[in-house]
Amino acid sequence: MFGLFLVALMAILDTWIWTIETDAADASVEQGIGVAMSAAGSATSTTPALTDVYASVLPLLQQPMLGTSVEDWYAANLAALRGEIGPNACPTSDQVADYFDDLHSGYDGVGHVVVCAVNDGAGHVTVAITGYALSMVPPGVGPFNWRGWGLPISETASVNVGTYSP
Amino acid sequence: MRTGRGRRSGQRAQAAIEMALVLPIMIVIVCGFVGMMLELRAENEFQTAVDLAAQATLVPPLGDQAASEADSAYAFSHTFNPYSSESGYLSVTTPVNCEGPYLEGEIDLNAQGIPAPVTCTAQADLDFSKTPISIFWFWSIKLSTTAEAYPSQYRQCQTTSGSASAYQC
Repeated sequence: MFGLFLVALMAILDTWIWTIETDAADASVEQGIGVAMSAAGSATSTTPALTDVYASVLPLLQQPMLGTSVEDWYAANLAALRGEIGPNACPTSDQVADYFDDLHSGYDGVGHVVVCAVNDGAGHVTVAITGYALSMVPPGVGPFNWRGWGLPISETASVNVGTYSP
Repeated sequence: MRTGRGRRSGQRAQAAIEMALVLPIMIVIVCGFVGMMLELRAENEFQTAVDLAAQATLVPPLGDQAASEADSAYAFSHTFNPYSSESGYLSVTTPVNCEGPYLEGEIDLNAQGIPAPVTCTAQADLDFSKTPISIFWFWSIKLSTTAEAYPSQYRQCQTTSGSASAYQC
């Protein structure tokens, strides 16, 4: 009976944490798109300000992620993953977790989310926040083949690149 | 006088009755909470998609309705995408539709000099029967979302459509 109560409590807590984290990721993606979609350099530029996204969304993400590390897609420690994924796409949650698992960082690569902003090369800018945030779900218990001690975070938005002036 | 065996049997029966009473309540509480969180998530995801769709209508120049609609549809479909965590149980019933003077090549300024916004709306169904809590919560909820976006000064410039504007390009 106590075990059942504990499982129910953990399910409620994890769902609550997941809602807080993914809502923060949603808000960050929306803000990131606004930053990325135009105006790198000048008001008429159509070069997206991709490298400015991380700094602009970090204050929104850091606290709600509850101990999960928020990584910059353009940081030096992710160079190998960038090389693997290519310059026009963002990684999936599992690719992020696999990468950090290879680096032996966190159980099963859990505990890292990446803020990614790329130009797809066809006039669109994509901002994604992907990875596995920390949770209390033990290995093998979570639904949908989730990783142990991790909650999947995958929020993506994509818009046409614009300019601030005509 | 009750024997030890009789007492143990009574305790087991009492535990079974307690379990039978508490278990349904616990399931209702857990499923209700998880359902509420899923709904919050879905509403947030949907609102973000419509917000970005509204902002995207203002990327093309004033009066370029076709480009505005295309940009808005792209932003909506690629934000509210099939690979997100809501895939499978959240489906769009009315795709995003945007209206406003900006799309017609007009800038209607109010008394405070603020232009009329572009207003986008969309509707979706949240189908709980496709979620892990379907055993308890098996019906759908309709989500309806509206978002507004205001053209910036740069976007209020006179264009080839010949609209009047307070701003010069």
